[in-house]
Amino acid sequence: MSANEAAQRLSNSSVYALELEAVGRRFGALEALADVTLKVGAGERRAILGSNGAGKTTLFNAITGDFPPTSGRIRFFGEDVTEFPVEERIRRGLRRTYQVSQLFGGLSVLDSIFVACRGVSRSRLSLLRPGARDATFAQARNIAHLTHLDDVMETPVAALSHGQQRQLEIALALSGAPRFILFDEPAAGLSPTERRDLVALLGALPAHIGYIIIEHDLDVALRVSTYVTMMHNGRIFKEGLPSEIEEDDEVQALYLGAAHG
Amino acid sequence: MTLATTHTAQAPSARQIATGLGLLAAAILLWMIFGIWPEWLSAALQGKKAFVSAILDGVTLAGLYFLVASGFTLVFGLMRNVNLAHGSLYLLGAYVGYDFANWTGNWWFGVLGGTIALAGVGALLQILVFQRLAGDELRQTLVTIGISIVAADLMLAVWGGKTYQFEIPASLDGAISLPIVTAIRSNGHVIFLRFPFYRLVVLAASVIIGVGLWLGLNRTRVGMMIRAGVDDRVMLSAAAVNVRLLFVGVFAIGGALAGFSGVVGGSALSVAPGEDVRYLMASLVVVIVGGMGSITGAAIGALLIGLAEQLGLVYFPTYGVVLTFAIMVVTLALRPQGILGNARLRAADPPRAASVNDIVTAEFNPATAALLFALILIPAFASPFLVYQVCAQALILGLIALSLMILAGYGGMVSLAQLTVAGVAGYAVAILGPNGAGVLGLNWPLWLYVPAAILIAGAVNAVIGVIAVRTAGIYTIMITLAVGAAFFFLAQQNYSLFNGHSGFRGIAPPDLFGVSWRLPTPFYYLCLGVAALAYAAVVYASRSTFGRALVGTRDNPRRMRAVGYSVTSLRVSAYFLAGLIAGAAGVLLVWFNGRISPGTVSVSEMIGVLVISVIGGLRHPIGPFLGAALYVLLKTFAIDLVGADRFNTLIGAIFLAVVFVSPDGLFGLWRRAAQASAPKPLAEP
Repeated sequence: MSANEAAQRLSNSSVYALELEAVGRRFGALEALADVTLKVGAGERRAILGSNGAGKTTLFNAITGDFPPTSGRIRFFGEDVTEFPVEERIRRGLRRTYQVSQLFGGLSVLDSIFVACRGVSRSRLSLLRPGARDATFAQARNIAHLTHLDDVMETPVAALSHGQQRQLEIALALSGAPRFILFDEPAAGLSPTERRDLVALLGALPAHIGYIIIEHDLDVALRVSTYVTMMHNGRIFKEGLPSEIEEDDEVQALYLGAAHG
Repeated sequence: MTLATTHTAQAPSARQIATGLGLLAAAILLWMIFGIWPEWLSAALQGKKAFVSAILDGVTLAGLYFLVASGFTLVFGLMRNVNLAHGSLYLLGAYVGYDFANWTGNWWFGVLGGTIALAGVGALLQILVFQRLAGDELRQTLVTIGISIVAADLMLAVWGGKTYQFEIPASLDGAISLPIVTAIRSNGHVIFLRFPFYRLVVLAASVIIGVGLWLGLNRTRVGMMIRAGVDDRVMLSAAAVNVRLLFVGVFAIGGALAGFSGVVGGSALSVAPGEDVRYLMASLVVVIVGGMGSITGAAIGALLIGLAEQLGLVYFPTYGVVLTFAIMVVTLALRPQGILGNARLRAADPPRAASVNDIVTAEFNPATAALLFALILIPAFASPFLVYQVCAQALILGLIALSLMILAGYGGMVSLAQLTVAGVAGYAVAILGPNGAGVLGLNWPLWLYVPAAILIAGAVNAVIGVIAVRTAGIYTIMITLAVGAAFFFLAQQNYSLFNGHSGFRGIAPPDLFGVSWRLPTPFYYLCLGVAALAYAAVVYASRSTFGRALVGTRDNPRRMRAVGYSVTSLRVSAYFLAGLIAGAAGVLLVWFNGRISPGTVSVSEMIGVLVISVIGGLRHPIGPFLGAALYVLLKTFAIDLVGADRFNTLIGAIFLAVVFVSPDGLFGLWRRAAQASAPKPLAEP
C-alpha cells in the first residue's frame, strides 16, 4: 500500500462504509468475481473501471445481495451483511442504481420516488393515505427537483424518455437518507448536457454520502472520484488516484485499449 | 480456490448419499413386493395383497397421468403456454375414440381415431388461436380457460351427462397372475397376485411412449430444436428454424397425447363429464412437482402422485388428497421450479397483459355517489326475486371477484383460489356458528363466529400466498388452481370436519336489531353495505403507501427490494387483505345459499370468479361488480336468451370475446364509450 493511498483513505474518515474480504462469485464453472478485497471509507467517492466482463456489475450485485457472493464476507459500516437479504442492506443505508433502468412502469415519477422514500421507513406497509402535506411527499418532490424531474412528476414512468428514466434511477437511489450509493453506469446513454448535470449532481451530494461509480466515460469517472479501482477478469488489478490511473501505461493498454479497440 | 475444491468434492457426495438411500428404498420395496411377509408387517399394512395392489395400481395410474401430463408439459416447455384446456382435449379424445370404436366395431380404431382427431384439434388451436396471441402468456392462458368452459358445455350437449364404458378387446381383457406371492396357505398352496391385464398394458404403453418421447427429444434434430426452444425461443428463430411450424407440430403432438390417453384412460376407467377437470388437475400437480417442461420430470411427478393417490386411498381414505397436496407444497418449498424444472422458467417475468396493467386510479366522485344512490333505490322498483337472486348475488360474487382484482390488478398475481377462501369462511360459519345439518355446529355467538370466519379466511389466503409467491407469473394461476382443487377434494372426502359430499345445510343470517336479515330487501342492503365498504376501502388503500408499493412490486420486484421492501411480505400481506374481503363475501355467500358443500368451491365455480373479474375488467375496482352483474343476469336469464341451458357456452364465448377484443373488459368498453361521447376538449391553438 503506497503512502499516497493510505493518506487518501484516512483523509475522509477512519470508518469504512464498505469492507469486502476475499469476495467471490461463481456462475457454475465461470468465476465472475475472485478474491476481491476492498475497503471504501464513509463519504469516499470511488470509481471502478474495467472492460466489459471485468466483474464490475457482478461486484455491485454481490454487495447489494441481488446475487449474493459465493465466498468471502461483506461489511457495511462495520456490520457483517453477507447473509442479509437485499432489503435489509438497503434499510441500513445502502443504495444502488442499475445499468439497465429498473423502474415501476405503472407508477408516476412522484409515486415512484415516494415509494422509494417510504421503503426504508417503518410506514412502508401503511394502509393510510398520505396527506397533501405529507413530509415524505415533500422529500420526494425535493429529490425530483434535484434530478431535474420537476416537469414530469405526474407522468407515468413508462412514458418517460430514456434520459429521464436514467435520472429517475438516480432519484430512487437518493431516496430515504442513503449513506452509501453504488452507481452502475449512470451516464450511459445521456447527452453531453445531461452528463454535465450528472457531474454537478454527484459533486453536490452531501459530504457524508459516499459512493462507488462504475463508468466507462473516463471524463465523468475521473472527475467525480477521489480514488480509482481497476478491475480485470473478476479481480482487482490496480488502484490509485485518478491522475495516476490516467497516466498508467498498463491501464492505457488494458482498459483504454480494450474499450476503444 | 480451496473453497472451489471443497465444493466439487461435496456435491457428488451428497448425490451419492441420495443415490444410496434411493437404492436402499428400492431394495426394501422389491423385497416387500417379492418376499414373503412376516406377521407383524402384514398386520401393520393390512396384508401384503392390499399393499402390493396399491403399489401396482399407483404405478399404472402414474402411467396414465404421465401420458396426459407429458403433452401438457411439452407444450408449456416450448411455448410457455399453460394449456388449461388440456383436460378438455383428454375428454374430447375419449368421446371421439368411443364413437370411432362404436362405428368401426374395433377398439383399436377408436384409439387411432381419438389420437389423430386430437392431433388435428391441437394443431388447429395453435394456428387459429395461440398464434394470434403470441408473446402474451396471460391472455393465452385465459383463452385456454375460456375454451375449456365452452368445450365442457358443448361436449355435455353432444354426448350428454351419461357415463360411457369402452369395450376392451378380449385379448387385453381379464386378469392375469403375477409372479408375486401374496400368501402361502397352510397346505403349502401358493397364492399369486392377480391383476387386470389391461392396466399392465396401459403401463407398458406409457413406458414405451415415455422412452420414445425422451429419445425423440434427446436424440433427434427436431427434439434438439424443441429443447433449444425451451431454453431460448428468440435464439431458435434467429437460427433459421421455422418456429411457427415447430409450434404447430408440438401442439399436435400434445393434442395427440391427450387424445390417446383419453381413449386409453377412458377404457381403463370410464368416460363422463368432469373427467376433463380431474385430468387437468392431475396434469397440473404432476408438472408442478416434476418440473415444467421436463418429460423426465413429468414421469417422476406422475409416479409420486399416482403412488400417493393409491396408497392414500388404502391407508388414509379421507385424507388421501392431503398427501398429494403435501407433496406439492413440499416440492414448492424446497424447489419452487419442480424436481427437474428449469429455474429460469420459474423466474420468468410476471405476465404482461393489457388486462392487468395500467390501473386506472379509482377515486370517489359524483359517478360513484350516483351509482350508490341507484343501488339503494333498487328494492323500491324491483321484485323480491330480482333483489335477492340477481342483485344480492351479484354483489356477493362481485366482492369475491374484487378480492381477485386486488391481487391481479394491483399485485400482478392472478390467484384462482379466491372462491376457495370465501368457501373457507363459509365453512367456518357453518362449523363455528349454528347450522341445521346436525353435525358439529359449535353455536358460537354471531359477534364471535363472523369475525373469526373472516380472519380465518385472511389467514388461509396468507398461507396460500406464502406458497404461491415462491413462484411468479403464470405459475401463480396453476398453483392457486391446484390449491383450490385440493380444498374441493378435501372437503368432499372429509366427513369429520367438512361433512363430506353433503356439507352443511340450514345456515341463515340472524335476526338482529329487530330486522330479519334473511328477507330479500334487508339481505340486499346487508350485501350492499359490505360491498360499498369493501369498495371504499380498496379505493382508499389503493393510494396508500401499501397500495402504491404493491403496484411497484407488480412492475418491478427486483427494484422494490433495492429500495427497501421485502417483496414476499408485501405480497403475502396483499393476500391476507384480499382474503379478508373474500372471507366477508364467503359469510354472505353461505347465508345467501343457506348451505355450503364442496360444490360451492368446485373448480368450475373457481373459474367462474376469474371469468367475472376478466369480463368486468381488472383495471378498476368497479370492474368485478360490472362483471358479476352481467354474469348473474346471464345465468338467471340464459334459458330465455339461448333457448336451452347453454349458459356456460354463452358466458365462455363472452369471456373469449373479451380476452380477444377488449382485454380491459366491460370497464374498458364503458370508459371508451364515455370518452367518445364526452365533449371534445378545445383544439390546441
